[in-house]
Amino acid sequence: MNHRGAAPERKVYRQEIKSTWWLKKKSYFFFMMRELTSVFVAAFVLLYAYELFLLSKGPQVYDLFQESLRRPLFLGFYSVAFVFALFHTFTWFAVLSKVQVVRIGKWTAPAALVTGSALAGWVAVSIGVGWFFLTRH
Amino acid sequence: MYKKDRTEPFWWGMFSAGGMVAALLVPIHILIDGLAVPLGLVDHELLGFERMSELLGHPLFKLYLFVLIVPPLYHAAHRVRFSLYELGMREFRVSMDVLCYGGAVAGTIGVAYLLLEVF
Repeated sequence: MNHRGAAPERKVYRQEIKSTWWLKKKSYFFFMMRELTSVFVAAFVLLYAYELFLLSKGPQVYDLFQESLRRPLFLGFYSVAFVFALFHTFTWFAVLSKVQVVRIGKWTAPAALVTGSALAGWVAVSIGVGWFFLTRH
Repeated sequence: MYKKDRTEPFWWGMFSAGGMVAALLVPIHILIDGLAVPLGLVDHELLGFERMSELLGHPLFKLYLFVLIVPPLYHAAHRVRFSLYELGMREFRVSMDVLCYGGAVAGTIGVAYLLLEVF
């Protein structure tokens, strides 16, 4: 036993984890990509808010921005953002079956049913939103 | 996490709501606003100045836009906060947390002001 002076020092073993740990395995990589989706989602909604702000400045300013949306840089960004947004949607509804367990009496909904229903709801909502914005009524 | 940060359940709740909104609404909106209209796949007048200004006259539409834009900010804030931990951030935890959620709050105020006062 070590009785030298003050309380004995304990060295706890802490495994060194590099910041690049998520590059080591495919599953780790896709986990990080899933987390990254939130950045693209936020970027999109902020750009959308900016678009609304420019709308408030009048038709010339707004149309100028619509013009710039046709440039390759924006189209490229939105294409990438779209892929990440879809990845968010799919991974979110997959996790939903684990987070929100649906039980009616003794019956528990299978995961595929929860995810499938959520995806069906998503398709319906998307069609609804698309119809609202893209048709004149 | 709760022991270290007792407000975490609240932020997780906001993250959850934002994630649901993002999952349901963001893909179709990126498709319409970011791709279909600029690529000319649909008539750009449908999202043009006149139509959008007209739509923004309706309080329900403003509410929809608020729901579209704001909750995903809290979703991203929470996710970025924990991703920073995952990426090895050990110092500055409190200030980074404040920056993340503060950004979401700032966005909330900005968007609310835009929708209520400007339009």
